[in-house]
Amino acid sequence: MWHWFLTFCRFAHQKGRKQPMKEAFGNNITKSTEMTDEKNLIARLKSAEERNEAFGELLKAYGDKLYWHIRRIVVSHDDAEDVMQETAVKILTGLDGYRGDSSLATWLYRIATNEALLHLRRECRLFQSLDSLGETLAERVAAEADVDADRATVVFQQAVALLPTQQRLAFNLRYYDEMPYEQMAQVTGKSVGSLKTNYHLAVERIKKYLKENMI
Amino acid sequence: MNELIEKVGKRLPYSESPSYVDNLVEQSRINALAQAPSRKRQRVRRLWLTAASAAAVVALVATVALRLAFTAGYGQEQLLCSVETVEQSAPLSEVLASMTDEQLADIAYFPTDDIPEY
Repeated sequence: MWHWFLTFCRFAHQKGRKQPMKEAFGNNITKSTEMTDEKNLIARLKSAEERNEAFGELLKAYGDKLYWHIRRIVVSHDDAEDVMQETAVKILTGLDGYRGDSSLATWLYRIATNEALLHLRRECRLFQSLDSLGETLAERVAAEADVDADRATVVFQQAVALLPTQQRLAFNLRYYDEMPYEQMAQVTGKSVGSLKTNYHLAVERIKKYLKENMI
Repeated sequence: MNELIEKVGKRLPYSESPSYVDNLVEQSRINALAQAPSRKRQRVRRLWLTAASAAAVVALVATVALRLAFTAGYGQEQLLCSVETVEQSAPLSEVLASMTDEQLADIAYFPTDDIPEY
């Protein structure tokens, strides 16, 4: 099982390396088209007349991905709703400050990640680190799970929830969002090297947890 | 067991209907558009308050520093002025120079009986 799991993760890793953000960018032709679309969208977001309409399109395009990215971090349904609302406000108020140094998706993911982590930090007691919330999040996974959810999906997600925050972020962005490491680095503000290390450590930990809890 | 893990894939144990997420996104859009202007005003107000507080602190520190510097200078000036005044009104060196050694000895060494109070 572990051999298969490792192979699967390597496959996802290789796949992500060859065709990063396949869903978001696709092949080269659609990539250039979408880049033009993104430039147009950015231009419209910057213009006062078209901002509201363009903002709606922006959320329509990325809202679903952002919601699930947030949900994977905060786990709770209600918390994800709150963070999503706050993220939308931050996106709209921060549009003037967006300089276009990174892609729009990267910028949006960065805001969503920061808001989700800020939300979790509010749950921490004084001087308590985010990593110590692992147990709480793992319990939350079980509580939030659908009635008909597989035990395997619950245990897998609990293993992810128990990871230290940086490893969890690296794993989520790489495994679920299939993001290239360079983009992940822009989202998290960490180096590519540390993200690679965190991802591989996360895979090892998940493997170990599944081994202990699934047999 | 392999099949089990394969089945998990990227699925999460919790799910939401697409319409729920779409509604949430739409609601977020509406809320953001409603809240953004007031948030901007709040941010501007916070910036102004911060700037005003910083300016007030700088002004206070500058006032205290200037006051201290001025007070120290004023005291020194007064002291110098009083010495100069004494020297000008009663030049001691001239008085001493005009006296003989005996007179100076009388001033310097005198018995306490010569003082009426004693």
